[in-house]
Amino acid sequence: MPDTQFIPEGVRRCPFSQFLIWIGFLGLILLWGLIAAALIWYKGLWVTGLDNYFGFGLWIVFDLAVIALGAGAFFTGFLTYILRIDQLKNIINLAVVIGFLCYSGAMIILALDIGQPLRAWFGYWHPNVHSMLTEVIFCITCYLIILSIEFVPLILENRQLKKISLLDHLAHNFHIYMPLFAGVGTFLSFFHQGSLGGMYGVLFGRPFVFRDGFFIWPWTFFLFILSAIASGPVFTMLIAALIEKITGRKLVDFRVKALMGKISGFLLCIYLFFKILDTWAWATGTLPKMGFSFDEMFNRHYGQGLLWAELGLCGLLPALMLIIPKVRNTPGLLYSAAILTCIGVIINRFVFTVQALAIPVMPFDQWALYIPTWTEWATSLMVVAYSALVISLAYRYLPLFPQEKALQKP
Amino acid sequence: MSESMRIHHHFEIRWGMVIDIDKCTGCGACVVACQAENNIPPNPDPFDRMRDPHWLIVYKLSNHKKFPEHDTAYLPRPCMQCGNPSCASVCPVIATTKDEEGGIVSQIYPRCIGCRYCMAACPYHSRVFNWFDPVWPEGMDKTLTPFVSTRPRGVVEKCTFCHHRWQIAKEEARKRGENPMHLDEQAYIPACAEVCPTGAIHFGDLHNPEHIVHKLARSPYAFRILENLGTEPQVYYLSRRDWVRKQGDNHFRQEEKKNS
Amino acid sequence: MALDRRGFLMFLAGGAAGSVLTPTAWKLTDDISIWTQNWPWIPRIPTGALDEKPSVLKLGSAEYGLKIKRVNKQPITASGNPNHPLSLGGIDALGAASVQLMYSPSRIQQPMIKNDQGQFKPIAWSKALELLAGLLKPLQGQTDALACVSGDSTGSSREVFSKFLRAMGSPHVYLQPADGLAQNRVWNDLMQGQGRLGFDLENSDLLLVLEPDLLDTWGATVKNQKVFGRGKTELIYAGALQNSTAAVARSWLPIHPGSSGHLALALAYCLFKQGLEPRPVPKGFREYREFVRTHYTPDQAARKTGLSAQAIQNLAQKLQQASRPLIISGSTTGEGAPGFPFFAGLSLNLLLKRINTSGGITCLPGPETVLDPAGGPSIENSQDFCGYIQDCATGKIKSPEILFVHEANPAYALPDTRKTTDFFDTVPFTVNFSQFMDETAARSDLLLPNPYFLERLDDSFTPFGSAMNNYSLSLPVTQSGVDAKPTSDLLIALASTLDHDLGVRSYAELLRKKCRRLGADWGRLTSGETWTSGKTLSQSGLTLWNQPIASMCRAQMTGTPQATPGLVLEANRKTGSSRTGLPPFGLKAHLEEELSGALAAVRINRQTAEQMNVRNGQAVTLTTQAGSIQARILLDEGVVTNTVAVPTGFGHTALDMFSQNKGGNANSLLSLSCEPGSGLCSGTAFEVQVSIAS
Repeated sequence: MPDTQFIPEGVRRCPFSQFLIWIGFLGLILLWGLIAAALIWYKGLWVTGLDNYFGFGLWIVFDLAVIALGAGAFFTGFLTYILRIDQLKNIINLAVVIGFLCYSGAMIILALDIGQPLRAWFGYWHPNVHSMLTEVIFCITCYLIILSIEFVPLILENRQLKKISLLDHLAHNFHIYMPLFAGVGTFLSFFHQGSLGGMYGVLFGRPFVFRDGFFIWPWTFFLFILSAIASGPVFTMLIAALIEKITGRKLVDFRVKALMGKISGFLLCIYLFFKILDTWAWATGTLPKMGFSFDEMFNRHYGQGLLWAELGLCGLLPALMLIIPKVRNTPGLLYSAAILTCIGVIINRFVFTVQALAIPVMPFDQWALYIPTWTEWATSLMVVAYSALVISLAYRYLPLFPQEKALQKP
Repeated sequence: MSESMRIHHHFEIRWGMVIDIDKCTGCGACVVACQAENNIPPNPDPFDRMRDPHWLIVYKLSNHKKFPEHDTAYLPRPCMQCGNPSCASVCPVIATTKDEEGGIVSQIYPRCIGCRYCMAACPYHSRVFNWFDPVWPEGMDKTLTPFVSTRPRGVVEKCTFCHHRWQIAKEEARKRGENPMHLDEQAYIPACAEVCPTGAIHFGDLHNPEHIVHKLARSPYAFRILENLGTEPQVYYLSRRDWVRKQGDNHFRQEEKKNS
Repeated sequence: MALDRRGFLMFLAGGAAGSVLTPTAWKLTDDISIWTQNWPWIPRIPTGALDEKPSVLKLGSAEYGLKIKRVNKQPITASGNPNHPLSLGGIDALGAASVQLMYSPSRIQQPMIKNDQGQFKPIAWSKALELLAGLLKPLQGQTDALACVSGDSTGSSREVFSKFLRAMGSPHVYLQPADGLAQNRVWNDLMQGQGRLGFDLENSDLLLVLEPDLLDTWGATVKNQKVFGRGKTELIYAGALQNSTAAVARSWLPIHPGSSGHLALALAYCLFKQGLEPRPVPKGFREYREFVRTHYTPDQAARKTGLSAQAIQNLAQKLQQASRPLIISGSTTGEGAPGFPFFAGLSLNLLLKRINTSGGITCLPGPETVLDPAGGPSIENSQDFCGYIQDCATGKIKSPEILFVHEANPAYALPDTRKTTDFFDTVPFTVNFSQFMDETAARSDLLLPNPYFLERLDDSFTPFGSAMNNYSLSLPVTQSGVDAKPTSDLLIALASTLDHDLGVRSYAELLRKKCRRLGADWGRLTSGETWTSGKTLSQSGLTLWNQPIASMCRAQMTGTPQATPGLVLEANRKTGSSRTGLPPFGLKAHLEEELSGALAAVRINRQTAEQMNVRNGQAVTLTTQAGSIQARILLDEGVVTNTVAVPTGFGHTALDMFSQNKGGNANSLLSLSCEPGSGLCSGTAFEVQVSIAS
């Protein structure tokens, strides 16, 4: 293989030609997305399904979802470096890479989503301290820098780069400061995960998402943090499992995966307890106070099924599965529960973004329907392909999974 | 909403509109005048409200009764210039604010990054996004007014109560040596209110007892849209018809009572 | 090279400091914030001196004073002129959009002639005039060789046309049909009334509106709206559709479409029952009363109108109790109707002694004519253009060799589009003075564009509906941006080429003479003021029954009550007038539901939809004897059962992108029919078939 000298010592990788085909396949999706992105920037946002009723759509759902699922990075980092759960060291590299991809992907999508991308930096230059979005902009940017810093030493671990003494020292020093970065990252993440929820909770013109809260933070602030840290670990674990499936190699000890599932399960229980309480209080308190009934929040397209799916099928069910050791320790069931958990969070982010805007607030207004166009799908898939590409490169050329060598021995 | 989230503004002047729905025939003169005054580009397909830029639109209300008990009414909807705007506090870049005397919610086009968070926040759909670059047919661009700059694609815009007319009125008052903070009722009137042929749109300072809106806003027939949400609009509506007033807000509790 | 902790921290700090200190980032951000608000393809707004100029709206709709705001003498916006008696500061959607309409992409840029391939080619004015004079010369003295249709019923240009055609030997000068013309003909020809009708809405305490959209298209619309806005007049609307007027009226009385004449006579029946006796007794009163008593018993009336006998009686009582009631009748679009509803409404006003009285009907002296003071009947009382087309079609009159079209778009706006366009196809040479490439212009042979009303000097004498005579000047507020010449001046020049003297050397001279004759002050008129006169003509010999009236009324009795869905047309000024297309700036004023895709919404109520087996939003084809259009069903409980409400103003095939590809032309559903007795020809539609479009 022409790239043998770059592949970490002691591991086996697929033939270079096969790898190239895979990269080519990802490249095609990337190209498709890039064409869509170019079209959006050239022609304007009318090529999307967004409109005056749906200022937010698939992209924001995508961003919120990947940021929630990417929470595995900061939370695993927090558990590994701050709480010193050593077992998690075996998956922290992957968690960092996923976190980096989720956040950088979200940034790419945001650059498409805003009407004036060239003015994106106004968020730092003219910040409105009252806006939850300002907080999100600052935290996401800072956290992306942290994630990059966390990612750099992993890159420097590459066999060839390691030979350069300066880079080796640099990597070493980064490692020393890692708990500090993890700490800062945790702090930032907590805030912007919350602020993303707060963004919706403060919308007192939108009965579906508006919530009372604690001091300046609506309840959604806390619920978004909880749902993110509940789903992040299982998502990281799922990706690890997916890589194993694709490569056909054992990379992470199943005990580590089950531990991630356990962590998620317990957090999910806590989250659901509050989420159900919140939904109850909203349906019986907040909504009537605003003049609405629970039934008015749903229609043919955005039905109550979504709510029950979010809370039940993709909430309580996986939560139970994950906290029962016997279930959790069965790989198939663990993965199923993990998938359901992730779907639940995606539904949550979807209804908060899209259903919230579809509901008529003025009594003489009408329900609206949002259907994303191919440009939105293509650019979203582009980010998925970009992530797959980076993970593939990282898996091939970097010591992503510390356990890999050990696990290969029969 | 929690008290901590309210932003209270105290202005000496509170520009407000009182629209008499019982006098609105839906003729659309206000919409046309607004469009011309504020350089809103014409659109061969404005029937797509979801993409068309507009500041003032007219809704047709129905009492939802069957023929022949049916009744209809027209409701012009400018920006409500909320006393407690849901849009201004969420803007990440301070492109829209409620901080100027008079209480008009501003919109600064060169500042707007087009994130549309304000649109998500506004329950009145008063805000529109420029999905397209503005185009006037050749020659028609000669009718651009000097009052409001044209907006490029990618920014949000909305009704400003023809704020430029207030600037002009204040300047003229100063020239005459009068107090610009105590304008005559006729000195500053937005384009829509000026042209309305039935006089359905009243405009003035809600704090000034010499202005008719001060009295009309206190009428037993006055209401504001979505008062339950706490947005405190500076646009009031008048109707002697119960069903029209009822459609100004959502009334969960009343429904409950009726059903029980 | 080794890197210690100190070195590492310095590396980080240095990187950060370097990024902050480089000027590139700051310069770039500064530039970006400037660029993003000054892209070269975003139109610049003007700066300069602002002023305001008065003018008068002349677009074939209600005429009233405008204030045109200008920057550097370039008109930018229009608002109502508070000093004009018919505006009082108000404006309608068309007036508000009139400045921008001037720049419609369909403006005709210069004189054009159609070549053999049917394409228009520019032609010089001198050549065009030479050509036209050459064509006209051999036709002199031939009665039926030349005809003219004009859409301007208030301007002095009609005098120029009348005089020109008379000099050519032709009596065929027509106006585009309208409610005002039909109503005056009923008044003058049938009821033997004097002068032209005015309506003193302002001083009335009860307005009973029988079908016309008083507050959007009928008469002096803006003035009507102003009067309504004062809130001193109670408004009752009877009609098949909850239109703009019904939306704000105290009550809406739903009646079958086109049955308002019946309602008026049914009310007369009730008034007679209550012992009403008019003094002095009009001619033919007994016969009239006999007719009403025979045909309008409560049960008959209820069947004819769809309104309950009780409701009719209550309404009659209300009329009797009011101190200054006024009944207004007409068509829903204002584009003309048969004489019967006008007669019925006027007879009711007569019975209630509402003639020449405060809050009633005023009888105004007709316009002063300058060119031919002694000349025959004034043109608005002559036969209407629809009748002329009918006569040409049946061979009663020879079709013209040359047709002049002035300020009108008859090929689109006349009822029975197929018949009308057939007529245009038979005319060998049509000269059109239109500003816009409309349906008629596209069918014409020679285009000699008249400047837009804001680019020329013109006048307006007492638009229909005004309670008082008034006269104002439509003043130019800008130079014409296209190569246009005022039609009236053109005709004066053309006449002299043909060795005819019209009596004035220019149109301005004609207007000055008219001003003098009225006793008005030219200086004040040119500064935007209006001459008004409260003079009315006293009436003698008013007639309620005679042979023509009898045959007109009896013809109404033979019609069968509606079995198949009826049709009610609706018009809005935001859709423009019969002369204009959809004004570019009027489009936004439409409701979203009025058009989807290329289909305009036709409204029916739920019960009708069930009967027809159609659903809300369904694409349908409406078919009548005369033609068919595509439309989309919109359920609306504000429409009488068994009735389809169709909007007018859509379905343009010519003009600009603002007008094209939007709905179907409602006029094509109407059949042209001429009424016995009155001889008035108008569009009617029976038996509308609604079928689901494939």
